[in-house]
Amino acid sequence: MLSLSLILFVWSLYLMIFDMSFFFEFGLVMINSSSVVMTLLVDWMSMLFMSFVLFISCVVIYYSDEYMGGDLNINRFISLVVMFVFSMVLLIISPNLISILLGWDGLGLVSYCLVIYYQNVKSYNAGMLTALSNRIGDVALLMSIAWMLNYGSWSYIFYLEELKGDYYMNIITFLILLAAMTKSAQIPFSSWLPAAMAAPTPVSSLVHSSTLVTAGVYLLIRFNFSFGDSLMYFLLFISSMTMFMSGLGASFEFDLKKIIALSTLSQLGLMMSILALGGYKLAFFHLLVHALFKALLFMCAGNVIHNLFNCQDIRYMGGLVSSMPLTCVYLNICNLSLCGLPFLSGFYSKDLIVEVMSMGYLNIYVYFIFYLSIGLTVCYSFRLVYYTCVGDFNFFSLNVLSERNYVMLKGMSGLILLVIVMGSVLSWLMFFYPYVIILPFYMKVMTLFSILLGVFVGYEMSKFSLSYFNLSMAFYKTSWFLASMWNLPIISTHGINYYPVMMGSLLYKNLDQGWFEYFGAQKAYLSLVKSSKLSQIFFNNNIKLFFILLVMWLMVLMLF
Amino acid sequence: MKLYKIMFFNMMVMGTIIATSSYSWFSMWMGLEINLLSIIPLMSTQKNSLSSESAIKYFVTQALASLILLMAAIMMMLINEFITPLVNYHFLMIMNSALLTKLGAAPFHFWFPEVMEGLTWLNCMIMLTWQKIAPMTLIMNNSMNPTFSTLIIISCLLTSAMMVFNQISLRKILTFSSINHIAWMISTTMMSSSSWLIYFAVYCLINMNIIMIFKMTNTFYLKQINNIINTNKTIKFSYMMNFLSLGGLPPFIGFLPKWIVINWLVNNNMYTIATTMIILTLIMLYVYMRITFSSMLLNHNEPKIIKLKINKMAINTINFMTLFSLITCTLIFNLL
Amino acid sequence: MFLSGLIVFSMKRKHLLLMLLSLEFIVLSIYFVLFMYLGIFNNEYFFSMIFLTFSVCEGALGLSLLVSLIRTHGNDYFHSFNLLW
Repeated sequence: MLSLSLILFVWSLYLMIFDMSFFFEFGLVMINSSSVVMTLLVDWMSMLFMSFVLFISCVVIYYSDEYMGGDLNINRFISLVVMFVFSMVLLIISPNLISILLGWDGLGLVSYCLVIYYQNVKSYNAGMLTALSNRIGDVALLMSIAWMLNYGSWSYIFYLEELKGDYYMNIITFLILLAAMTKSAQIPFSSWLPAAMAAPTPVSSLVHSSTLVTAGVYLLIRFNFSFGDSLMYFLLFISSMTMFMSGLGASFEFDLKKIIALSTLSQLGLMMSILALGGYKLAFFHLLVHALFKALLFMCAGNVIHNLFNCQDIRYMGGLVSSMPLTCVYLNICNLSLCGLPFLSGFYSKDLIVEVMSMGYLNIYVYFIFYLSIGLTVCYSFRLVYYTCVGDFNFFSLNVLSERNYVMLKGMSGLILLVIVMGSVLSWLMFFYPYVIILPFYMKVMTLFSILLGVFVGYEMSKFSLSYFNLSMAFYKTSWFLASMWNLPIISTHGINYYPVMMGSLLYKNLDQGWFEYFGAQKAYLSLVKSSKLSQIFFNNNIKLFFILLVMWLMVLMLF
Repeated sequence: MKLYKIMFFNMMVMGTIIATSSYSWFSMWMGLEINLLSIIPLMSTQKNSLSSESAIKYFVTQALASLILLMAAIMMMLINEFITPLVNYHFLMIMNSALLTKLGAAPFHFWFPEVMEGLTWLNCMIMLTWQKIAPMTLIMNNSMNPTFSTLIIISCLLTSAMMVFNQISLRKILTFSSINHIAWMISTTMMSSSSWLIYFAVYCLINMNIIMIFKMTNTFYLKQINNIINTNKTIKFSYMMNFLSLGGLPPFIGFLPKWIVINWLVNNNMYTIATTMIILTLIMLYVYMRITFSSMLLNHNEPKIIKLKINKMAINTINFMTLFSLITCTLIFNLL
Repeated sequence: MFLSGLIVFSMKRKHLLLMLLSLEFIVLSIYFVLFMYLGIFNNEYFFSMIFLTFSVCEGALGLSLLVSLIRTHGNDYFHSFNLLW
């Protein structure tokens, strides 16, 4: 897998430099002049993405060999992960809606299997939430396939310009947008992403960095020429809200994995919003870079959790820097890269995105929400660092903390170099001409200012708030609202389930077991029995009476 | 089997054949009389009060009906000969009423369950199947008033559906189901004789299967079904499927004639009568289900000691042929 | 005549023998009508012979049934024939 990844990387460089793309098409069946084909698109984008996916999954599988070492069904786990990666690869290289659906549904299915890998009720609920939220997107994709039948082919790559113009074809783009929103957990559907943290940590690392959640972004990158203005505004609004919401949520969260998941959500919002602003290449750039450092971040978290006997609450951690120095170093590098510290990889993409946004001609809402979200990113990153690495250790007094698990460390070390250098390398490779950014001084410094503010808030507030007047407890309901992702999990579980279930029980009680039972089946039965009894009495007469009746009937016939 | 039984049986068959193949009303009447005279000794072979009572009731009713038939025929001919343009519907209706009395159709069916109750299963089978041929063909010769026939059909369905609801005797249930099927057959007589033939043949086959099973297991009442039929799975399944076929459920052969009838009725814009027939037959189907489900759904142990002496091969073959002939025939026609 | 025979046939509910007698009465009335009819058309009187034969057979059968009923029931009251409801 590693070698394949390297080969693909070189291939993508080749394709990028010569600006080439290969297009393979296998015709499967032809129905009423619309042909179902399996299409493979090989250009630098898909090759690069595939090489990243394969590299990260290679590292993750290596890592999970030790992380899941005590597990009985490790073979099943590994094969599930491989299936997952395979369906992601299918999704990446196919520019055809039907063959995309193949990978898309594969992702949904295998992600369900992986989320419920630990078999308990919480995992089942999380898996069901994940699967059903993604199912909306699957249905949207299916509907868009059905609508695409009108146009004779499903290779959307040839239709991108028409998709933008035609009113009826906008249905397709809207449905695709819906599908991408579910897959990338944008705002109405974002509750499944933290819930999916019930999966084992290597899976989270793979899912949340490069595969599952980025599938939606990748689909939108492929489709990006076809979105009209209103859809773009809609997407911008949704994604910036997502970014802001998840940043706030992460600042109140205490579960280690959920914090990282929410930061993923925030970065997804960032990608989506820059995509909505037109910079699809920037979105792709951030996608790749984010995949690297987020994977490593999850792996560090996994290492910590593994050493703390599967404890995920960050309030029990602290002072890990003395006992697990290498892990903490990796964690810090990744966090800083996430925050966009200069010359780490996250800096290149994030800074570019923010400055392109600042160059854009947009309202103050978008501007501030971007900067607020960046500040919040820094804030929760530093809060995480504060809780885990600094301070006193708050777990059991008898414990074994060590960095003796070399396989996991080796796997993590495979990524750290890329986390540091890949941003700059990719920026040199992907952008032949540098972006021209002209900004006033205060806007240029705005980034720096928001980052510093985030550092202050994240570190100092979480430090002080424990010993001084605790504001987050004073405004308990507000902080609860913010921490629970603006009530989205409640809405997408109880809110959807409650009314149908209630209506069902109401109908069942009043109709099926109430009126319909009495006036429907029972009434028919009773009236039949009653009339049967009546006619039985009538028929119990002597046969001669019926002869008399017959004769009377004949007389009536004869006389008239 | 005794010798006189064979003779009377042959005479009965001959009477029906005379009645169906004759041209004049007199010879039809003769055929019916021969049929009646020869079936009475067959019916009262057992020396008990039940069979003789049912024989006398059958005799009285049929004699009355055939005399009325003859009278109506003579009167109709007398009147029609003198006043030719006046087609007298009243005498036609009298004749039809007499024939329906012989058939046992609904407003004139009073003798039917009582007679059936006293007979053995073989005699029941003759009553339910063979005795219907002659009156039914004679009805087809007359042109029936559509209002009258509709009235007969609906009353047949209604009475059979209502009366069958509380019965516990299998012979009575089969009687009322036959009255129900008479309604469908009368509606086929409105269309064509060949579709009547299909309906009647299928009905006879299903009835034969059911009665054969009941005769072999000596079952006369509902509660005996659970005791005897449940001891053998093959018997159980075949009798269940035969009942479902009698009710006209699609995979079985019993669906075919009903399908034809409904198709014809709908083609001729007789939606109301078709709907009525279907809905009222539903009650009949409910009763069949009630018969079968008690033995199908309830848990029951099969004692290995009690072995029924039944020729399974014959039952299986005949049942398979009758039940699945619809499927196999369509398959064969599709494959060819 | 025919109608009165029918009425008597169906009203007479005590003895089966009387029912059979009224049946014969109906047969006679039909024989009368038949004779009239055959006299009008072509004088085909042979059919009356056939009719008489059949009616005699029917009467004999009725009487034999009467005998069998008396053997099983002990009387010929039509009211006692109510075993088969």
